[in-house]
Amino acid sequence: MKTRHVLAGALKRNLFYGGDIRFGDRSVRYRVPRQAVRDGIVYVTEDRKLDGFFETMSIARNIQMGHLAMGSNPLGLVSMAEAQQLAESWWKDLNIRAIGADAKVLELSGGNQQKVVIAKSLVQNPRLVIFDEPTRGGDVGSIVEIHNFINRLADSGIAVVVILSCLPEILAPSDRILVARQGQIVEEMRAAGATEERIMYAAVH
Amino acid sequence: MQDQTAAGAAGRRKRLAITQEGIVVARLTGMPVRPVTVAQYVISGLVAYLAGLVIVASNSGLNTRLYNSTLVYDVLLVGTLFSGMTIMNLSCTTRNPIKSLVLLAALIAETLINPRDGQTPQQGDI
Repeated sequence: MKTRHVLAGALKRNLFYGGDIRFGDRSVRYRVPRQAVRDGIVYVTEDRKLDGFFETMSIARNIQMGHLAMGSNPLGLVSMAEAQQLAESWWKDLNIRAIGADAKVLELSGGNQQKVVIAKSLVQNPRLVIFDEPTRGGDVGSIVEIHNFINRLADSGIAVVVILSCLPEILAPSDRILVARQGQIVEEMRAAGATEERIMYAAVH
Repeated sequence: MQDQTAAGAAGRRKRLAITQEGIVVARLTGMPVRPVTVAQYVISGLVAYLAGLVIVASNSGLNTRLYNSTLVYDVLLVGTLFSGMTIMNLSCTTRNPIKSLVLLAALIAETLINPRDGQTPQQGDI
């Protein structure tokens, strides 16, 4: 039972022992991820091969799926032209390197696949994004790009939670660092005063 | 309006595709996976109902004469034969020729007693 899964609605919060999750100014308990997505919480998964993208579909289709699931129209009507345009713009925005927006996601490199997963989530106009190990399996270039993208996202006013376990990476995208040990938050620090040693010390002691 | 409907159909079709593709992914993306699955079953049930209606409509014009026929007795006879062979503890290899001989004899007898004239429909003609 992980807090991030409960928050994104992938798991149900235990009614009696689950504590309380407040989003905005109300207590939330999602039964399915759909409700969380409608409320503006998206979760960028840790294991993208398992539950990140639709592997037989193209880049554009994957992004369109995110748009479709957002439910902008209650009847489920989505203009094809609009969806295509959206996919194209996100594809360019995230600088996904592929032959075209119609390339199969399975054929991309790890970092580019991750970008597709991010685009699929961000097309849903979230208010809170949870990145779970966003740079896992990415190459050096795409790690930097993803960090920059996360920073841009946070600057645009969206709440961003990034979960990382690779120590050297933590400082780059962070404003505020929370160190967790065995399910408990044990230390909170600002990025300005944080060093790798302090983080490691908090995590171990 | 035409365009809207087409887009709507495409949206629904895509939703179906997406649930087939990967339920876990679709669920995490925020697709209504359970409603779509339920709708699939409901729709296929309705279509099967329609197909049933069509079959009933096409067959109801035909008199299959089930009540008047001797089919019930035939079944009883063959059933008795089978259980008799079981009681006599015959092996499968001996049972099969006996079965086929009895049924062949019955078919020959039937064709001799009720020769087909091609005008009146017989039982089993659909």
